[in-house]
Amino acid sequence: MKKILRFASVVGVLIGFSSCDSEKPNDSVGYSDLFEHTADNLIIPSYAQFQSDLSALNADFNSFDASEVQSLERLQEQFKATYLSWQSISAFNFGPAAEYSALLLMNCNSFPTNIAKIEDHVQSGSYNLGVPSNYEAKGFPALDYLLFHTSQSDLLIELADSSRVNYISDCIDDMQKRIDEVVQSWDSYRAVFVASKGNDRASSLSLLFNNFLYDYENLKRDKFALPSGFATQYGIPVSADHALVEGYYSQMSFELLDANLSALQKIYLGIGLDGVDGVGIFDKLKEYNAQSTVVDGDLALAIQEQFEACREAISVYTNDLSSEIESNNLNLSQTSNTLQKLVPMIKNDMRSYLSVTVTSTDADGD
Amino acid sequence: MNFLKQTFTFVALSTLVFLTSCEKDDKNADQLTNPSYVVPETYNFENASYGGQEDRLNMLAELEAYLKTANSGGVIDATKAKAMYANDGYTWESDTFAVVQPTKDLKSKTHPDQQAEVEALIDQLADLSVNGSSTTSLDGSDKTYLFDENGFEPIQLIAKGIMGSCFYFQGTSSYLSDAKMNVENDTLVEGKDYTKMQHHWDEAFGYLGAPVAFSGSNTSGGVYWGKYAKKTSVGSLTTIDDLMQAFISGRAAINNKDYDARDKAIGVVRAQWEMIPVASALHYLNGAIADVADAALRNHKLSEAIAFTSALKYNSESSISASQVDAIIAALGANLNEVTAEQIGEARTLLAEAFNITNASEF
Repeated sequence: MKKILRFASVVGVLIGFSSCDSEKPNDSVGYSDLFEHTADNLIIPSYAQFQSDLSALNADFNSFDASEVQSLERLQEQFKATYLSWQSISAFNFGPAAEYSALLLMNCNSFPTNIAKIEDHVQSGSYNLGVPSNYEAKGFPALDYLLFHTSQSDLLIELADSSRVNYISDCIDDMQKRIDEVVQSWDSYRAVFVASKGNDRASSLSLLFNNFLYDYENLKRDKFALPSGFATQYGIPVSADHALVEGYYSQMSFELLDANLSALQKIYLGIGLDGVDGVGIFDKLKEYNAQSTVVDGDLALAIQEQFEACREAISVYTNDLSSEIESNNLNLSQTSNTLQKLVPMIKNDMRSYLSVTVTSTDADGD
Repeated sequence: MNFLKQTFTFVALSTLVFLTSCEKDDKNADQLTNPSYVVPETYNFENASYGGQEDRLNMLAELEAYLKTANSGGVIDATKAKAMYANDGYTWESDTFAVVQPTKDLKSKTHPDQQAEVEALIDQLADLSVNGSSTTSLDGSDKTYLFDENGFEPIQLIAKGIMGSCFYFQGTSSYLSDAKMNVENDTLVEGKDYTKMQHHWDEAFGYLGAPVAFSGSNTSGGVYWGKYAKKTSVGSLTTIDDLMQAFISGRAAINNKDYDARDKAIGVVRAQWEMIPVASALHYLNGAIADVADAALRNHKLSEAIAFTSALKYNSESSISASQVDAIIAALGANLNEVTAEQIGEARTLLAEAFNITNASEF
């Protein structure tokens, strides 16, 4: 009797619990190993790495000596390293990073930056960097301008001015405050992220997929197609504008683009920051024996090959993207097509196997 | 056999226990226990009548559609919009009014404090439709809204404002008040097949804009509050089922002169309906955080959130005080063009805390 009761209560508990879950994606494939590996070997260490790179930037800035060109060079190099490090966390813009107190993506990387606003703030010394209208005057794009927009000798003169120094300091502090909070919040959010079940819009599966997709679409459009003249707005083509690239003043657009691609590829394959290969979306697609509708055959491999093709495509250029756009390099169109080809593989094929919905556009009709 | 039966009962019981453990809100727990009469599954009562409420929902739809023409450059005639609001000298054009013009109106049923406010907003909108300029979203969806100089959107404040100060006020406070409930329930209203009390209850239900078989698993066909009710499910609240059950059991109680059960149902209706403006406001605050750098989307969503938050004032058994409501809105500041994500987060925190909601970001 006791045994039966125990069994019965277990069944009851099970039934009770499962009634709380929303519908499950394809029953045969679980995701907790993916969440665990992604959190422990990609997200958390990448945040920690970025936090430490940003601290190093802050340290170089605090010890900056406007009378020494080496000091400026050190600062510029560390800026580049930190901006590259940022590319490894931009796809994780959910949970703590999307909380109102962090909003990492908007606050750290709204480009192109607004130099009139920056100069205005430097001049007046009165600004509130928390106001959304100032997102375009802070973060990496603002530092990119402040630390690279003219020759080193002119920069050294500019950076002897304390109002300019204060502004840079405020921009770095603002990013530090936000990443510190995200790192801290992941201590408790990790358990929530890993334990998530189901595929509704708040599930880890949906968050991970949608932010992966959003980051890739942002890369393809805002970092490449838009400045190169291959994007449309409301269906009308937009003319090329080389000044719209990411990292315009430091001329590191292609490096940033490759770092971003490489980061997304590692998330996809499940390659941790330490290089260890674990469970990625690739492995889940393999479990489903997923087939591509864009090219023939295995979807998991097709996406991996397309990532390689994209990285290959941007590696052929000798100059920075803004210069290639200015000189009207005819290869850019081909590169844009290569980058575009990955979109339906992710947005249609991968999405359908993961059974999640694209949440980036709000369906509210009012 | 006996064994099996016991086991089965236990499984069923423990299932029940865990099922109810999914519910985040137990305001419903002590509801109506085993009445001696049948409580139906839906609000399909034979003599239910709330045509006047359906007319008002349709009137707001036509008024709102007219006001929204301003978003795409249309000029709003304040006299016409006010004539629609008061149903005074305006000829309705919706299909639903093609044969018979409605005799009801929105204005006289709006909370007295708000009637002049709605009309002032109409005047402001009319002025903006001539002298203002619209703002378009940056996300490619090409959504265009008309804001005042501080980023507030009169169209939302009018339409959602009327949802609060008229529909919600009438549905939760007026028709369920002692004055409207302590009325004749033994004899039928002359020429009608219902009693006065039955009709008052139906009128409260009519303002919800929900189909008779509305439920958590069947949410289609809702208008206004019936449509926004879906926002509660997003945050895992069981509001829709609890609210529908309360309306149905309250009407069944009136049919059977079970006034204790009716009074309990009134409490549940008021407590549960309140969660619709709460969930809707949280939904739009979250949306405003996500779109904080897009002035058009942000200010539109904040205007929605402000209107839904304001609605909370019109429930006579509200769980939140008027000054708390004011504090939530004040957290957003006087100029939405200058609002920070932190301010929106603060408003969300204040609202969530007032209702013991711990998963505010999920709405």
